[in-house]
Amino acid sequence: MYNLIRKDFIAMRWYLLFVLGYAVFFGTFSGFPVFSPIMIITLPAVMMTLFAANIELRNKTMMFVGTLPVRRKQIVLAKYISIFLYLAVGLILLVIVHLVNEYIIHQSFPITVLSLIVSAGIAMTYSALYFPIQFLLGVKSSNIVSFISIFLMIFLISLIGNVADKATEFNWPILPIMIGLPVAAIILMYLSYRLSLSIFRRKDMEG
Amino acid sequence: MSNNVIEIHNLTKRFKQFSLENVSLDIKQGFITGLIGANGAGKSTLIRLAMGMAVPAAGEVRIFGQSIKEQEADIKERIGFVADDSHFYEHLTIRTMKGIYAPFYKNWDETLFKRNLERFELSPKTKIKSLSKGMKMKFSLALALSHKADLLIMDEPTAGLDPVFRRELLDILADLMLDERKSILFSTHITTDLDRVADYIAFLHKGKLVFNESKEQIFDRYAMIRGDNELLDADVRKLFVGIKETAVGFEALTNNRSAVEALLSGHAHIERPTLEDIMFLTAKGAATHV
Repeated sequence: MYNLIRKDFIAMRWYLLFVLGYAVFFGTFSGFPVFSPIMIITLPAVMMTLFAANIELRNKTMMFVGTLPVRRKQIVLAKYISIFLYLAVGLILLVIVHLVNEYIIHQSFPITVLSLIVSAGIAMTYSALYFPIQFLLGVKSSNIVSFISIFLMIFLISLIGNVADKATEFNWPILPIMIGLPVAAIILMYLSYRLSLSIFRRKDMEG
Repeated sequence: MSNNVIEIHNLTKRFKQFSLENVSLDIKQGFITGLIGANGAGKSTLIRLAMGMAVPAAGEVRIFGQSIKEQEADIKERIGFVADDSHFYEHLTIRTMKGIYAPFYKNWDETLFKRNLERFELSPKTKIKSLSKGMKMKFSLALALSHKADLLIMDEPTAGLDPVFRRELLDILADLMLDERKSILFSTHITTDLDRVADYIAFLHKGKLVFNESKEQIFDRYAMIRGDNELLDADVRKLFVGIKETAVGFEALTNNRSAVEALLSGHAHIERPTLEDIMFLTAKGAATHV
């Protein structure tokens, strides 16, 4: 499974530079006040999920993966585990952005635990909703998958971002969100994984 | 222990406009088996089912004595696969793509891979998107031959190759077969490729297996008959699986050579058919005699 995850990172290596450029530009020099830590972590994770899927669909790579000595279960699981690595990339970017803001351009860029949890929650929820759709619709409906994925991304960032803002504005108790959101996202991901596996086991690999 | 490397039992797969029905087929270990059939006969579908890449409606595939459904990773470790089309990451170089592929295999042999690249005149620095179809096929073959696979499965590997490399590929396959533990399943609609190297031929027609026999058995059983139309009566016609009639005579294929010889010897030309004759006239016969 490690090799499946590694495969996506190698295929995406130039795209990682784009993600880095995005984070540094919008997180520092652009002056966009809306670019919170949530956007710096979440968007790269979501973008990388989409880049990996797009590269796979464009090259019909599933037909290559299907010939490798891996089980279908590993193929599905690798996609879900990748989300945590994409989040780790987002976290590294956040640290870079924070350091640039604090020590080079001397502007405040506060990072809170809540923002980290919300970011992870959005990315995990996104993948939980996206992957079953990708496995269900597959290569032949890749345009529909792309459309749905963009819609999902905007919807989730708005929804969870608003909830987080309101929590801060109205002094909602933070602890239930900090515990509840990751737990709910992990449960959702697990259910999504079972669903994706069930779909993928019944489908032909497409090219 | 069975001497079959692949055992396919009652395999069924249905699509909207095509189905593979109850196909049972054994591929012998230590031999080259050619899977022939016209485009759309079901060759690629059968290979994808055998590789576990497609899900059958019914039936079972066992490779090396194990079920592909239950042991797909262990089985594929021992298979070198060459697809009919490139599904590699087009934006990567040969070297990077190899870097993705090689770690999946415990028996990867880097020296052998480099030798294969040299033999196929491929540079590791070349991007896959700049390779021609034939060169992509060579790269695919270089990968498949570099992890010491016991079974090589190739789906239309000669399509898109120039005649020089096609001949070279057949020589490579013949060399591989010097190790009697190796087996090759090789689908093609260019039947002349198989005349030189195949030991067994499996013929698929419209999703059904027509035969799976050694080349000798096939050419003992099948014959091409050419003669005047006046020889054609109901008894003679029954012996033909396909026939092409013109104003000056007929050309027919039989799968019962001895019976035809008994009836027509001395009256018609009876000769050994090519695999292409068998494919063409079986298809034609099925169309005209239904």
